[in-house]
Amino acid sequence: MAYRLPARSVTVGELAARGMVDSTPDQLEHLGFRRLFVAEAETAYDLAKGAVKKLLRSAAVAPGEIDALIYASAIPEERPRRGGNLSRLFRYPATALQYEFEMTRANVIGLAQAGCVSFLSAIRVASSLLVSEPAIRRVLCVSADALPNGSRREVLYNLISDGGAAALVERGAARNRIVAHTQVTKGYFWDPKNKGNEIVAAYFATARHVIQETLDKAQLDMSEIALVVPHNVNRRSWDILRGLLNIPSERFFGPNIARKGHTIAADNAINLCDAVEAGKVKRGDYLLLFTFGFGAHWACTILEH
Amino acid sequence: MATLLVTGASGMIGRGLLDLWRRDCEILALTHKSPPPACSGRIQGDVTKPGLGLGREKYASLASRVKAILHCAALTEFTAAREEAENVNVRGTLNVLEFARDCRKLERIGVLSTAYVAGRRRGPILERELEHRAGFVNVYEASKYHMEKELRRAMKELPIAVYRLSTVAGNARTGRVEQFNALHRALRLFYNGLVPMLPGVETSKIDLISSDYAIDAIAHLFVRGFRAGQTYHIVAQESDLISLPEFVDLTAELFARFDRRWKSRAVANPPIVPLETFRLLEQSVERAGNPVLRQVVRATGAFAPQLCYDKRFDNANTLQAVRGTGIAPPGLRDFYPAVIRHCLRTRWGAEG
Repeated sequence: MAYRLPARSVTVGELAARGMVDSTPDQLEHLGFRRLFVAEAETAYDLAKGAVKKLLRSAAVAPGEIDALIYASAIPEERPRRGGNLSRLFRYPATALQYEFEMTRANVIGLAQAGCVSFLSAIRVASSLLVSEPAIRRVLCVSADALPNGSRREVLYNLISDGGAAALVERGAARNRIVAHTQVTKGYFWDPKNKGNEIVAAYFATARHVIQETLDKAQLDMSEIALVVPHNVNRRSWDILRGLLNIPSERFFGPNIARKGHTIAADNAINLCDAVEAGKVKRGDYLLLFTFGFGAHWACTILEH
Repeated sequence: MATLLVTGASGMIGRGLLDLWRRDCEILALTHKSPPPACSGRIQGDVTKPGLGLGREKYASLASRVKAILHCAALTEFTAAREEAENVNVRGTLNVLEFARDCRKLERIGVLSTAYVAGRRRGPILERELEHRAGFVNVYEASKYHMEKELRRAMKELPIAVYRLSTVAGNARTGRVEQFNALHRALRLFYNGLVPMLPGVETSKIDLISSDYAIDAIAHLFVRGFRAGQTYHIVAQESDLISLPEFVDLTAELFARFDRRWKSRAVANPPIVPLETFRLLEQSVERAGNPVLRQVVRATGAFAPQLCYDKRFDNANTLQAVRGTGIAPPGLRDFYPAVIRHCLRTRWGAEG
């Protein structure tokens, strides 16, 4: 796995001064946020490219050896413009990435409308491809999102960063074996603008259900999970969820909530990379990745490192 | 019983009793609200005022006639200000007792209370027990406890019996909810998909009774079975109690049975969490300032923490007193579906 964040980061105080959040800096810091990353010079595609470049270098895999590319994004890169050229709408970053990195063998799949679970969904689809199509050995999953320039950055008690992540899902890989995955989608909550309160109310119960079901599929108990790798939503909601699931603070990787904010779909990858680098994970550890995304989707993946 | 004075006659229990007794005795309803339909006479008064807010002549005339007092008036809001609750529930009762001392023909006083004077106690709760140091979940419980302490003192000189009710859900026969209370407000929030979690322990039992059982039991205990100095738990049968998780599941099943859209909304059953976890949610919501969620956690937090204190109300006194009368609490699984159907049909009381 690898990730790429924009060059520029700002504090919650700076964001508040620029009118990009609804809450006060004090409220945001209470929720656990201090700093987030804002793409000013970069596009989401640049962030995706940065993450892929880093991943291919570290994995020592030639682009020509990639059999499939899944490009997941929560926010469409191109938007229809009135009177604009229609062909603009069909410029896909997924195929551009395939061309730019010369992944000539890779079938390209776009994955959209899954919000913050896009990345975990891509990994799930990749592992299904490996199972269903014996000819496919390596799938590159990419996810990148950047809010439009000048966007407000606060949504439902969370602060949104821009960022991109990439993962190589490979048959018989030496690390991060996919043990179990669960995703639940509740279409009733499709409109976050009008269902915000109900989403907050449903969040904890459904999160607990999805995590518990994934543990059951993996035949594991929460006490056997070495590290919970979260999505970087507000710290208070994680305090509550940890209470619901008996997750001790020492087995929860939470520092990036304050340092990096919530990057829509890339959080789990960013946190896993940083946890490994910080020496928090050792070979054979079971890792639990959880995320929630507007749509509304709840997803959990357990990996064996 | 001749002349009976009822305070709080416009409340659910007061109205029900008036309907039962209107042919048997002269009923005077002391009220500061609209007059109940079944009383012989309405007396404008206020239990929180000295002399019940009556003029000297009216007070003397009333005191000379009254043979029985049933004190139902109470402030039952869990989120009321402490002073307000103490004023109505303690000061109001002291004023009624003061009036009772002036009633020369007085034979009996019945006072409605709550089984939750037991507050945060756990385990079996006997009817004769009162004093404890466990604390309370809300100001209603605390004020009723203080009221009962005053009643116990007064029992030495006045013929008082106390009727402690558990939570009244609705009429067992029709499902009709005469008075929507904290239970119904919480159920409505659950129905609307707005309850993130419930504080409680999974072994906690749900004690709900029907209004007709409550009325029949009080009517019998106050008239034929009156015994001064006694306290009665008017609660569910222990064999009919269901656990908190079973209650949540049953409620969701009933929502699905009576509303075909319920399932498509995919409302999650609220998880049952330790009080500390619920407090974290409360703090978060208070800080975030969302008015809807703030209202939800305040409404839930005002009574639901009681579900963390698993207890059983012993009702041996009541069972002995009603033996042979045919009066018995219906089982929750038998009457609760009709209550939920009524709530949904009337849109939680908004229609009829």
